[in-house]
Amino acid sequence: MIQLFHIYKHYLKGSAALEDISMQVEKGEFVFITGPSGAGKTTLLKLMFLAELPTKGQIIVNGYNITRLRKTALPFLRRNIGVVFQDFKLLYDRTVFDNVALTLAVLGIPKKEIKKKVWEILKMVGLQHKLNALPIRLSGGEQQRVSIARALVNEPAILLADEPTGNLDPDLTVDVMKLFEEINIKGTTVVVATHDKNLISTYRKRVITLEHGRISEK
Amino acid sequence: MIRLIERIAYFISTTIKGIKTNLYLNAVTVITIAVAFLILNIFFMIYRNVNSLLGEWKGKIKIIAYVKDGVNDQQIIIIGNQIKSNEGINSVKYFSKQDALNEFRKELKGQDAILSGITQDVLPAYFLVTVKDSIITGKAIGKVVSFLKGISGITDVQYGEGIAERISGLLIIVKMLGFGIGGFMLFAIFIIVSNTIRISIFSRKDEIEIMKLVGATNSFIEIPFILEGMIQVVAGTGLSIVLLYLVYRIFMYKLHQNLGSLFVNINISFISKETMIALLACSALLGFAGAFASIGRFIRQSY
Repeated sequence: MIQLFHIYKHYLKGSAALEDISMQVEKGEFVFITGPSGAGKTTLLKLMFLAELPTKGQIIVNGYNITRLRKTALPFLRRNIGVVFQDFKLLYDRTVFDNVALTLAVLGIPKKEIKKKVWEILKMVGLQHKLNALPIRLSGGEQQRVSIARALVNEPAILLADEPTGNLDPDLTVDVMKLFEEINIKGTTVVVATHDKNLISTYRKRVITLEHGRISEK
Repeated sequence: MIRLIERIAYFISTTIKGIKTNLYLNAVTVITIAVAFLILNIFFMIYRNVNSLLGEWKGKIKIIAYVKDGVNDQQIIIIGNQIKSNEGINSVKYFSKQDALNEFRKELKGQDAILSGITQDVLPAYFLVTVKDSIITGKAIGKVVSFLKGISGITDVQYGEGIAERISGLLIIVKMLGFGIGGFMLFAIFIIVSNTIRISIFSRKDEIEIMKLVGATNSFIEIPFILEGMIQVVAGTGLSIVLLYLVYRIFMYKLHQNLGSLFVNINISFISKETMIALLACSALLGFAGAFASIGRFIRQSY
């Protein structure tokens, strides 16, 4: 589902964020990417949905070489990838419904269908009763669930999560991980970047460890 | 079809939301554009009125070609035909010595005493020539005059020397001023719109980032911003037309109130409907260009 071949990422200042990364994530797999802060986890994830371009190397996602993708084709790649961030990236002047509906609105899906799908996904993350609430009124865990709902409402083939439990207490972390496992069982490929060792030891999944921008698979 | 309608509704509601988010900024922009267009519109009005005034003057430019004494009727016909053969000539009318005296009498009506003793022999016969509008530029009318002077049987040619040059010179100045002011105003409005949209983009940066993240196409993100820019300029132009109309009504009222008897025949016209439509269409284009310059650059720079 995701293949990286000899990926290098250097920033302008000359520092190397990633050095010769080659890895593969199978369809329907659940993978942790871990490593200390600054190891390159976020950069690696960003390359997978082309928020940034690699300096060198090839990335194949869902059968497409995304490093050779034209900019105009980028939105269509992203429609197959849901992304969850540590800081949620919600729109705080919009309701929970509007935040989640945005993913479907950009696809031109009819309003009626949007309503149905948003309600279903919010029910799945346990927030159907907060449909009209503003995100600012929600707890950190609830906000993260809204961002997960936004990432999943389009039923993407891949879910990328960057430190999704970084701002959550242990109970809420369990809730979020349960959600990820559920969607993984339904067939979505899940890649979670985290530096939380407890999380990795609790959930027995394949782990890819990064150190100083290089890979050391355990 | 439903999808299309819903999409249009989405763009309109997003545009309105965008305007509401930066309501103060949008209001200031619309007023600034209205003031800029007001200046431009005043100029259009001046141009229209000066032009129509000049048009009236143009029609009054006449050339008189005096005929040598002793030229017979047959020769008169030949000279008349020769004059008509010039492409710049609009009309030719022959006045015999008797006609010339009659015309003179008409002009001096009520002062017949002055004309007592004057016979038709005193005044020369002449051709009254009018030229086409396109000829009223200094050089072209000069050519027609020398053509007339060159015809045998014509002794002298008189015309409002200098007037034609001055009229065409004034028209050129008015036009140049129009292009200058117009060009500068359009450029200024372009900059204003593109900067307002830039601020609007900045205040909705997070939203744009998230929209890109969930797979929105560039045009989907751009359209509401472009509509916002178009609405700003069209609203500004509309407001400027309303303001100009108010200024025009007040000016006409004051003019007739204070100088009524003097200016009873002066008819100052408001900018034409065609100009208004053209202005609104140009503003829509200008809004499009200004907004597109900002959002297009922003969208294409980021991944």
